[in-house]
Amino acid sequence: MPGSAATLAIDDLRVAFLPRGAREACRLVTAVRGVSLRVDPRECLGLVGESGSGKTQIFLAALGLLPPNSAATGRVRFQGEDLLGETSGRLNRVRGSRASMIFQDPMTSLTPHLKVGVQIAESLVCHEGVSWRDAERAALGMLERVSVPEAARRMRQYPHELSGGLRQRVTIGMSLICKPALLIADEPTTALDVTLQAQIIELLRSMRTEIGMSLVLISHDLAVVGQLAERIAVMYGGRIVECGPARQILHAPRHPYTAGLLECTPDLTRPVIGRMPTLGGQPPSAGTQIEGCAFAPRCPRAAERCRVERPPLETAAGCPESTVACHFPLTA
Amino acid sequence: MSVLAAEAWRRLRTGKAMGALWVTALILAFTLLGPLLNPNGIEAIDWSHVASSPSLTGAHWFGTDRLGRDLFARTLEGTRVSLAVGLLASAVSLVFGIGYGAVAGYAGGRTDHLMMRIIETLSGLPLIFFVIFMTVLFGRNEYVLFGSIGAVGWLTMARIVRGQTMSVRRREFIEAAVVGGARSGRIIWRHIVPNVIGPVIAYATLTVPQIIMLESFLSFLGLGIQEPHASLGTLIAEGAGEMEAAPWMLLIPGAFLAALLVALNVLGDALRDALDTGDA
Amino acid sequence: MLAGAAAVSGETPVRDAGWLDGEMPLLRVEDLRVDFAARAAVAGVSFELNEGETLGLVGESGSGKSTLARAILRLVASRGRVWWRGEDLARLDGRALRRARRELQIVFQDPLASLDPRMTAAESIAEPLRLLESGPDPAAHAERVARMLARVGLTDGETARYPHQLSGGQCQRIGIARAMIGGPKLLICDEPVSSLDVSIQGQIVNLLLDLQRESGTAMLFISHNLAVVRQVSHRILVMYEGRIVESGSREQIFSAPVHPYTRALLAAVPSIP
Repeated sequence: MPGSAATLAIDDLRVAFLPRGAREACRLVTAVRGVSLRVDPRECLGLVGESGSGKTQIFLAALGLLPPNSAATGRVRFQGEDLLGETSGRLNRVRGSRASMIFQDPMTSLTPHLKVGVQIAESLVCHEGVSWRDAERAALGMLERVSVPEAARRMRQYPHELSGGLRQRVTIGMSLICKPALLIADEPTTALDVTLQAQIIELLRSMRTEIGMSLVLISHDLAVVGQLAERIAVMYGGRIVECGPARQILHAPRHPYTAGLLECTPDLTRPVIGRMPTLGGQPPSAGTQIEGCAFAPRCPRAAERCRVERPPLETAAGCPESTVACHFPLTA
Repeated sequence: MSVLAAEAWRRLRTGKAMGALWVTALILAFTLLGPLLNPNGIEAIDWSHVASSPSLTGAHWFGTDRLGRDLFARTLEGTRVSLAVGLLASAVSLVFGIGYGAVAGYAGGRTDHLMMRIIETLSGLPLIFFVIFMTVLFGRNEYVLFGSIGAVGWLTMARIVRGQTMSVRRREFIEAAVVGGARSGRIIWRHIVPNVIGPVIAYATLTVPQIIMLESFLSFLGLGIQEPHASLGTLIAEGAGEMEAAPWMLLIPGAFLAALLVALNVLGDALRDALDTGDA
Repeated sequence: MLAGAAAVSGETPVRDAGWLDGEMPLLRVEDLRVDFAARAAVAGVSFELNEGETLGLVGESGSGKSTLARAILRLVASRGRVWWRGEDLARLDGRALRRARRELQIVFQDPLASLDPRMTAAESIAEPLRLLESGPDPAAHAERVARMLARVGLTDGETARYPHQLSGGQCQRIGIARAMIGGPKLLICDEPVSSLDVSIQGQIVNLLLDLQRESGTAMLFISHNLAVVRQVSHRILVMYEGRIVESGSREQIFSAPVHPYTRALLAAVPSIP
């Protein structure tokens, strides 16, 4: 729906880090090399990429959570407000209430010395000025909604007393208590076992419809993202290489990297051949100078042109809703 | 190690440590080269200049003390002695501390328990009492001083090494070495010590000023370096007595001590940051 | 090996007679138990592993599968019996245990943590060799290390690097090279690919399979990733709360699972919708 106000609009975002001890600008490590993204209201966008592709940095930058040795340029608009370069005071009014983020490791995103109930209630008290008593009642209700068994007892427990799956439910409850317009879930299931993974995905699905929020699901696993996302963006080497409706990405990928990633995604429906499908080579590390297409060294379709000229992100042929950055895209 | 050392050096070079390193090097060079510039000995008494004030044009750049001894020569001697005590005692505590701490931390269990109780018992001994006891036993000389300070200094070092060892020991590369068939001694020497040495060296740098302070304190009380030799502590003690009549006798050695302590502390802090490879 | 066995006497035989008849499996685990703080992490596990075989061990985190691996290698204290080529591992003295351990290697989950941060790739791989041979021949060692490095796919530039300068996949290759260089009889892989990117996982699994084919090493492949276990294993054990709840051939586990937990595990694997 072009024209209507997007929940989150990112325009030409670049993120660079200065490694510890380095003073010269020439040592800058570029993690995100110009990314534009749009998340519409109530939409679920999946963002897929390998470690070091810059997928997390985009949203850390958007919410002003980057470490001090880094810098971001470009434009980030959240519900019509510019976020990039905003003071932390103004960002704090957005973070945790209108836009939330959950991370891979639920243990490190909970404060070890505070009871779970207090941690959930806290953001209601801070953002909406609710009394502690009401906030704790709301927190109890939220724990029940995220299917934490024996919610009343869990409220009084500390994070280390909970299992990994329960902790992730608690962080989800914590991030949803202010009914945000946008939830960014960064690898929410990677640290969890398969059975828990399926439950957390289900929980995110039901909470999304219940609250009516936009969801960004970041993962390295296409199968996980495919469970929820309506649109999928694929990142490689700090740039988006393909973006389009989930069905097209999962069943008719245009970019050779997306196709390779799909091939590698473990699947129980494949025949047993005693070998794993692979994608040769290694992803470029952040900071590598890239001439041409970042995927060219690993790409079976790469030609000389790919090594010298970077393909722009363009509308895919025969697929008006999708964009792809490839000189020789696959055809459906 | 060379690549890691080069990286650490790069990190060190960009930090505030270079200032501290320069100050330390300058003081060191000054104490070693100074005597060549100055004809006055540490014991020579100049009857014509007793308690004269500092003058850069006169014979005594830093002035003289109440006996007419050249304060320039004595300050350099004092700095040299203080530094030597600090470095030697730190080296002693480093060697003992690493050996003892790594063994205790790696062995764990009952051995660790016993070894740490010994450390606690030893650190319960009052230092002053211990030094007096040693002095009574062996007479007053510098070696007793080195020995007794070192004997106390390694206790903290051993505790630090033990703590570091226990955190390294839990990492999987130690299990890999055990599975590879390595004996405990080899694991400690090849895998534990190189991985705890960074923070330990940094701590050792911080120990040097502590020991200089301790030595100065003991010398101030008359338990350390004896006349006619000098350390910064004895000079300050003498100077304190003449504070009103001849303030330079206190201020000059005091300034040297302060500069040395600040520089070494800053250097130790910077080393701790630089030697951390950031891989843990 | 017989001399070592004769030196120990006791009410139960140190050596299982079956080994001499060729009936004994490479590894036999009998009622193995590990307790952590009054809780049984491994609550009585028994299984056998034959030469050249790959046994998959699946289960969730906390099911005790990593603890089981460490108990077999005697890295944690355990009760029960572990028979290694007919010898009771628990009864071996220091020297015999070190010798047995060289034939029993492990690849860890976290490739970075499993490498000494102060050793280069080449040094890490050379380390077990130094312990292995009594008379060190530097030239022969260097050559063996170089061959192994090339075999696991590390370039010349990478062999002189330290772990923190390499990617997770490269570090895991070093871990595998270190485990394989002494020519072990059994390789225990404890979640060898679960911390790696999807596009790298396949490379590492295929490397393990190739090395196994070349050397005939048996493998105990521990993973929570059923799709990977399915591709590599001959037989599969399913572990839940410290116990083996189901065991069987690959075909049986994947096409006709019996235990409800195995079924739940299979149903939860996400596939591309």
